[in-house]
Amino acid sequence: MLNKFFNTMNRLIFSSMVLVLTSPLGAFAADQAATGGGDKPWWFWPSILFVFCFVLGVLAVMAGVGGAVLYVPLVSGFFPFHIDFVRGVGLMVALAGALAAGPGLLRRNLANLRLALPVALIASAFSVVGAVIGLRLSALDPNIIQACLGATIVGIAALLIFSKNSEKPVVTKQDAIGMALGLNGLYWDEGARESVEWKTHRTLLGLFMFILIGLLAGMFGLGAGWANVPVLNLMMGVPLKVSVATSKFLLSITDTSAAWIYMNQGCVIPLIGIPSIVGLMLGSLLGVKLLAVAKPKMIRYLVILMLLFSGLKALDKGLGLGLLG
Amino acid sequence: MKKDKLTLLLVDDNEKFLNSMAERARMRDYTVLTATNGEQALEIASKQTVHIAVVDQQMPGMEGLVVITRLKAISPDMKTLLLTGHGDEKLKEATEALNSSYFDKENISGFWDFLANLSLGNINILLVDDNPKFLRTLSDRIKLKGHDPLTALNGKQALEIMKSTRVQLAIVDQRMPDMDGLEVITQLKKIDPSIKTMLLTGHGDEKLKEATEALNSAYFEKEDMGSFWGFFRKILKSLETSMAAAGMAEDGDQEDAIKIEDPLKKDK
Repeated sequence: MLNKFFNTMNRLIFSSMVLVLTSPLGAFAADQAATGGGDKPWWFWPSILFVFCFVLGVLAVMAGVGGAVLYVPLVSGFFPFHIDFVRGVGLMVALAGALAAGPGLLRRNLANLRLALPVALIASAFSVVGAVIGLRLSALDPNIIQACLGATIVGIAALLIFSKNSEKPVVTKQDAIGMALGLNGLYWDEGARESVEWKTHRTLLGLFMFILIGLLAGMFGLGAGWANVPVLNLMMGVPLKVSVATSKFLLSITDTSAAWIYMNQGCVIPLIGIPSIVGLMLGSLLGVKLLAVAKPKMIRYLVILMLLFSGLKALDKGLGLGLLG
Repeated sequence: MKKDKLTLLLVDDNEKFLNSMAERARMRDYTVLTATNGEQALEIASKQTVHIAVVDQQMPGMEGLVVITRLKAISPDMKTLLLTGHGDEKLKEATEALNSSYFDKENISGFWDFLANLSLGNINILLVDDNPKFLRTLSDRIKLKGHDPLTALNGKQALEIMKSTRVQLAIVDQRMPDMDGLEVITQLKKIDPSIKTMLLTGHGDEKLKEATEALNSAYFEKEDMGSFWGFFRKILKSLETSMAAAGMAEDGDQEDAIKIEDPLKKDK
C-alpha cells in the first residue's frame, strides 16, 4: 500500500521534473533576464525556484549526486539570475545540507573527526582563495566563470559516470604522514557483523588534492562531495561509508569559509537563497523516504545526463558559441 | 557502606573474562561467586542469597535471558544485569521487559560505575501507568539518576509487586483501566504506610488535588512534564536521522543512507 503510494509519487515527481525542465521556462527565463526581470510580481521567481529546488532535492538524493552540484548549473542555466548570486546560494545550499547531516553522522560515529580536520584546514583555506578568485574573474567578465563552470560540470559528469567507489579499499601499508596524523579508525559493519579497521595511504598526495578541491569549491559554490569522496576513497583508501560521511561533515567547514566571502560581497540574496534551501531540504527529506522504498538506477543516469547537458550549455554560453541556443 | 555485604554472581562461559571480572569485583569489596554456565548459576542462587547477578547472553546450553528469568523465579528481589558483546535493540527490550538491566561489553569501562549505582540505589521506585511508552520514558529518566525503577501497567500489577518487594516511592497515574490512581495509592498505603506516593495526571482537577493531598501524597500534572517538548524532540530526532541519510545518499552511499533512514529495513 505504502509502496504503491511511493511508487506513484515517484512517477509523479519524475514527470513533474521532466515538465519543469522541458517547459519553455528556460527560454522564457532568458527573455526575462534580457529585460531585467520583466513585469512579474516579486514572488514569481522565488515560487518557481522553490518547486524546482524541491524536485532537485528529491533527485539529488535518489541519484546520489550532490544537491549543490545540480543546483548551480541548472539554476544558472534556467533562471534569470546573475551567476554570482547562483554560486553564492549554491554554497549556502551545500552548507545547509552539510550542517543538517553533520550531527546525525557524528552521533553515529560515521564521520571521522581526525580525518576531517587536517583536510578541512587545507580545503577551507583554499576555498577562501577560490571564492576570491571566482569573484574577481566574474567581475572581469562573467563569461570566464561561466565557461570554467561548464568545463568543471562536464568533468564532474564524467567522474560520476566512470569512477567506481570501492566499499572497502585495501591498504597494505600506512604511510608516515597518515600515521603521524593518526588517520585510521574502526567502524562496525552491521551487514558482516564485524569491526572493520581502516588506514590511509598516499596521504600527502591526497592532502595536495584538497588544495584543488578547496579552490573549486570556493570558486563555483558546487559543494565538493563529488571530489572529496573519490579522493578519500580511491586515492587515500578510506572505506566508502567513512569517506562519504566525513566528506559531508567536511563541507560544513570548507563551505563556511567561502560563504563569508560571498556574503561579504552581497552575493547571497535571501529571496533566492531561502526558497532554494528550503526547497532542497524538503525535497531531500522526501527523497530519503522514497529511496527507502525503491532505488531506480535509471534516475542516476538521467540526472548525470542532465548535468552533462547543463555543463555543455554553460560552456557554450561562456565561450559565446551559441551552439545550444 | 553496606557494600561489603553485597554478593555478586558472575555468569560467563569465558573463564578468562570471568576471572578478570571476579578479580576486579573483589577489589571493589563485593563478595563474588562465579558460574561458567546457567545450571551452575541456578544451583548457586538456590543455595545462597545473591544480590546482583551479572549474566553473559551468549553461553552454550542456557542463554543469558533464560538464566535471568529463572534466577528471578528463585529470588524476585535479585538485581540482574545482562552482558553482551553484540548490541541489539530487540535483546535490550527483552531484557528490560524482564525488569533486568542491560550492558554492552564494549562499554565495559562504564560498567563498574553502573554497578555501584545499581547497588547503592537501595531505594525501590515503583512506576504505575497504563501507557507503556510514558512508563518507559519515565523509567529511563529515573535510570539516568542511578535508580532502577520497577514498573507496572495497572493497579493490580502494582499491588502484586508491592507484596513481594519493599517499595519506598510509588509514582502512580490517575487514569488507568482497572482502578484509578487514588485507589492504588490508598491500597499501597495499606500495605506499607511508610511508602511515599505521587499522583500523576494529565487531567488537572482541583478536587482531585485535594483528595490526593488528603492521602498525604504529592500531585503532579503530566502537562508539566512537557509532552509537547517530547513530541518536538522526537520530530527533531527523526529530522536529524533523515538529513544524515540524505547527506550520505547525495554523496553516493545510498546503501548506508537506507540503513540510517530505516534500520529495520533489512529485517523485513
